[in-house]
Amino acid sequence: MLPLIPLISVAVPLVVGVLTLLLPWPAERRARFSTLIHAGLLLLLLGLFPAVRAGRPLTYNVAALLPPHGLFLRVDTLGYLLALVVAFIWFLSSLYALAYMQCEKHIPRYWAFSNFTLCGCLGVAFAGDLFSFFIFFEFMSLISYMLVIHTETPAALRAGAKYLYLGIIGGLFLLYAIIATYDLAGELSFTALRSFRFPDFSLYTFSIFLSYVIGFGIKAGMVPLHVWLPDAHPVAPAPASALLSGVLLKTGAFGMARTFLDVFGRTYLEAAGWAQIVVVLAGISIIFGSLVAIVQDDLKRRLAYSSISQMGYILLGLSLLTPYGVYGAVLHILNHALMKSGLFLSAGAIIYRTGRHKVSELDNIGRAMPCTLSAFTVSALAMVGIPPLGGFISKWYLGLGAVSGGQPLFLVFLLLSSFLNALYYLPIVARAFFNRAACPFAAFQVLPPEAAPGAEPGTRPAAPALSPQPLVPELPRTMLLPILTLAACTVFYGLYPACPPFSLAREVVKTYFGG
Amino acid sequence: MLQGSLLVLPLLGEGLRWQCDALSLLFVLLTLWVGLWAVLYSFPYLAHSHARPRFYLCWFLTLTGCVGSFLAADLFTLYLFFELMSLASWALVVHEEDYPALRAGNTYLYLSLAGGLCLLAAAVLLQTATGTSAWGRLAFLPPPPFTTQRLVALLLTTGFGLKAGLFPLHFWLPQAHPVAPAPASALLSGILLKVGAYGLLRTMSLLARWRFPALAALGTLLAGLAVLTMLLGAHAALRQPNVKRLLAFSSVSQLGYVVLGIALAALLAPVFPLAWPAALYHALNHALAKAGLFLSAGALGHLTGSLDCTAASGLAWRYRGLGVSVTLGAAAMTGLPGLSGYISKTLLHHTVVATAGSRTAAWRLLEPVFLLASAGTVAYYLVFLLPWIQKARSGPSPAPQKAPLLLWLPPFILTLSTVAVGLLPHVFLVRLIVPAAVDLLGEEEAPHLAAELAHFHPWSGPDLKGALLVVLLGLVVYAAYRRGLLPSWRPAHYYMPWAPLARLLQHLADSGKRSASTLAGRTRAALAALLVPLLARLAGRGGTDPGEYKSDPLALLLTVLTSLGAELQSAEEGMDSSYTHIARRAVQRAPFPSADYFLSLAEGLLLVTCHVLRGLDALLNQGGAALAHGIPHLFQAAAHLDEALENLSTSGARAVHAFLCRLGRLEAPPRPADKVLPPPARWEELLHLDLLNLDVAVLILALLLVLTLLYFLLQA
Repeated sequence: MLPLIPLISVAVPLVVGVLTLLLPWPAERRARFSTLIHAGLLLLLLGLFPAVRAGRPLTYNVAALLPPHGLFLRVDTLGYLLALVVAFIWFLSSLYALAYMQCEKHIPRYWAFSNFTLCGCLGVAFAGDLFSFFIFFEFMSLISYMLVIHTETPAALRAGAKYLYLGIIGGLFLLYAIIATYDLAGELSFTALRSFRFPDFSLYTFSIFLSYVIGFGIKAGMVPLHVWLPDAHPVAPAPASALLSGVLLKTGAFGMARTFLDVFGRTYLEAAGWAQIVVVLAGISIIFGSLVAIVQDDLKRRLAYSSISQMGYILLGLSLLTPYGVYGAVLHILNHALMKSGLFLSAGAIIYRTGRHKVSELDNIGRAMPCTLSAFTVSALAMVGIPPLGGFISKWYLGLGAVSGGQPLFLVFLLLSSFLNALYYLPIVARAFFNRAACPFAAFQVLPPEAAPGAEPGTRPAAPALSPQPLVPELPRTMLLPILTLAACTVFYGLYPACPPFSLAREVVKTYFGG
Repeated sequence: MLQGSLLVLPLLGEGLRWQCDALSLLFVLLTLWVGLWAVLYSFPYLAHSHARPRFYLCWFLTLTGCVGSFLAADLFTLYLFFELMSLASWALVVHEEDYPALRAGNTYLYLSLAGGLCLLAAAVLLQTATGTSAWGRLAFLPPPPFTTQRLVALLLTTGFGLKAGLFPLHFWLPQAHPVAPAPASALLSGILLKVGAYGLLRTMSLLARWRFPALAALGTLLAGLAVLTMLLGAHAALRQPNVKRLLAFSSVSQLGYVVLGIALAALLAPVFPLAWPAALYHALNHALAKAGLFLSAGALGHLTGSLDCTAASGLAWRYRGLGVSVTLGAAAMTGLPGLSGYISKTLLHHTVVATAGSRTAAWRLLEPVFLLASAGTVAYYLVFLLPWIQKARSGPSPAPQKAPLLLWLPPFILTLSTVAVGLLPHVFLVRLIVPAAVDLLGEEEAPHLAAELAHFHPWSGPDLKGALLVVLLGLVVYAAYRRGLLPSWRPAHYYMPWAPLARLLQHLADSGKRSASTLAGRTRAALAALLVPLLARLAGRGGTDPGEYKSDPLALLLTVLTSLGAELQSAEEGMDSSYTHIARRAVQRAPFPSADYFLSLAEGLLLVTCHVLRGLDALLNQGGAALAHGIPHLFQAAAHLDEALENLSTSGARAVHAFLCRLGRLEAPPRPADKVLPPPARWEELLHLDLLNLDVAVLILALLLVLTLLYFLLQA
């Protein structure tokens, strides 16, 4: 039964997606059905935890599909961690989307393509060889285009086109790299590639390495290849933004980890010194993303640039090739997924209630939506790296990794970026909670009709401290719950970073570095 | 779980460690004592304030942060509580939420975070080099390599020095402390600054134990900065019309004394261990007296509605409790015999004399400078105190409003405790200060300390004479200030026909300014000539005016960062257009790659280069402008000093005479109208307490205080 779980978890979203499109149900029911399935998938994956912790390899080969190689699924610690975080964020985002998507068009399409993308993501996590990996990776890249362009505004279509073309270009690079790897190694499964050592440091091998870096770098938003990211993430609907930024970016980092640790191997890369390219690019991403985020006024765009910077952390940790660095990177994959999804969901909640996108319009919003903005604050502080929140832990290990890898310069980059993060996150918090004097009630005036009952147009609402009910109501419970859960997880896994399933991050390091 | 006296909680992966030694205990007791009275004071003070739950939440988080920082056994734990303290106290600073508070809060927040990041970097370096960042273990492990030591020393000094308000990084302090509500100011000034001092103590002691090779250089640097801080703080405090700003500058100056003590202690490491108790005693003195003074200043604002120095005229006679507390507080800060300031300044004076004796001749200058700074302290506390004790102006005065008990009792108790600390030096020295200092000493210093202590008699003749001399000097400085003989801050209005040196300096400054600006202009022109053709195709972007921010280094930094971000973004958009080009070509099935494509890619790359260069150019220009503005200010400051010395030497006697004449006929300004307060509720009338806050706040604090005292007694 257990080896079937990866196959089930990949196949179920695919089937459910098709059903969501075809069944003659009202939109409401399709949404609830999908959410229920996502919850079930999360539970199913949690059921795998004992087997993964025990280190038992779970493999399943669907030889009938795609004949020469077959679809090869295999569960290891790294992939399992990614799958778990994918399922968790997906479930919360679906729960949130139940209410959020009601005011959008084409609801069934959203749910169907969300399911398809989930299938792709889980497939990437569970792929046992490069061939299956590529299939799922491309599937995910192309399908998620539909999430980006969901609103069908011109801006969304433009951003979507960019996303699509760059995704395809990245896919082509990956295809070249995989074919060339097969040419050299004659093997495609990750276990076989780990024991295989590339024969030399020739230009050919280097081109393979570079193609992997470009292919995964595009997906992960590494700096010269990030151009699609700040356009694509903000235009999607908020739950989809949370998925794109919280989960889909991580598949790029995951692919990079597979390249460095499985395909090439640590010792080979250390001898070749090629990882230094990624170290430098990651360092540039960290600073670049933070600097550009400071000048963004659009909240979601600011978050998107912050994602570039945070993906830089992950890539830096991976490419340092030290145990601490890899540990920090894996932790940051998990923590960043929690934090950034929480931030995007909160930003979406603000848009949902007030229709405001810009940071400069968010005066006093915290008094109207205290729970949402408190959760936002927790996630933002975690991004800055304030202990004892999740972001601090991963930053600490990344810092240790940078210094123990003999590159203390990148410790400076990390800390500088922390400071810059504070510069663009904390003003939002200050504006939301501590801005009584400037433009006192701006956040309460232009509202959906339900919000300001009985208020004459043009008159000033009473002071919020005196009015018994805030004029912007808090969110519906299904939207608030995911946001608060994510914030609570950020706090909890900051305090106990060795709690399951985060404890598996240590197992990952043990797998690749021994001891 | 408890491991000896080490408390370890398995949190955050690394584990949080706390350890209570005598040094931590001293600071924790101080924190709780000040915190208890300040929170009691806050009940009447904040009775009608907005967002009180938030204030009390952040209040306790700040206290947690302080106590946690003092008790932290390693730098990792300390960093956690340090950040907690910074963030929570930021919320206290911006409590009023008006423009000045938010502005000061910004400076405070970002500088504190930057300081915290310095600590984090040091923690990472120590963890990698030695495997631990615990104070207790680091001292006994073999020291890390010199480069690491140097970096760690620099980072820790910067991080803690920033918190302690050391000279080049002090500018957040006079902004942030006055805008906070009075109980928060008392906490900020009394306790939060001590976290910086505490960290510096630990750092210097650690470096001394490692026999850090550059310790002499670092100590000299710190001592120099501390002296500058003392003088600058005293000079600025002298001309503040706002009471809380005066007190904030006084905090800058007094923390300079503490840091001077720390620096000299490290410099004199094995031979004169009495320097450690000196710094600790002054920290204790400053915490008690300054907290009391800030609370009194808050009471002044509460009762009269104005924070002007002159608003207090005659208030000491109407409110006897407040009058006693401001008098005692000011006297304790100036170091009158019988109060705690006397003991601590005497100890510091001994340290200074010992340094002058054991070092090169240049150190002899330290003693006069020290006396001058102390005289400055006397002078600005005269400015602070005299309005309080003048007779109120005759005439129909509004019916005196009754001060609630809790508005005058806490400052009274706090300043009374300075009397206790001053009158029982041997109890406090032996029971609190010396055990704390022993934690800082190397093992070969401890016997020295016992010997020194046996020879130390606080009320010996020379010391009393020294205190008298300082007071007399202070009167002279005050007189000079009253007659307008001290240099003023406004450089635009001074004219010195009779000071050739100053004229020369001004010429120098002017020419330097001119040449620097020409140089900057030349550079800008050359770079522009290079870049303009390339930039012509870009839409004009509004640049920021560098002059606008020159007064605030942080704002300058922020502007530079923001403009760098904007440059990068537009460069990125340029790159981006080439990507779009690829996509468009691909869709249109044009021959691909075409010459067009390469051209647009090249254009993108060129744009990036241009933008980065332009950003660098702007950075250089702004830096140049700042430098060009800074150098003349330096020269002008020197000119001020020269002028002051000349004035003092020519008209000293006349000034004293005029001062004595003046003392008699100083007039009190009109008193502002009383703030009309709503009638208190019945139970409030009874106690002036908010019961909801009372049970949480006082019980927790009292419990903590009792527990700590109990622990202390058991240990003793």
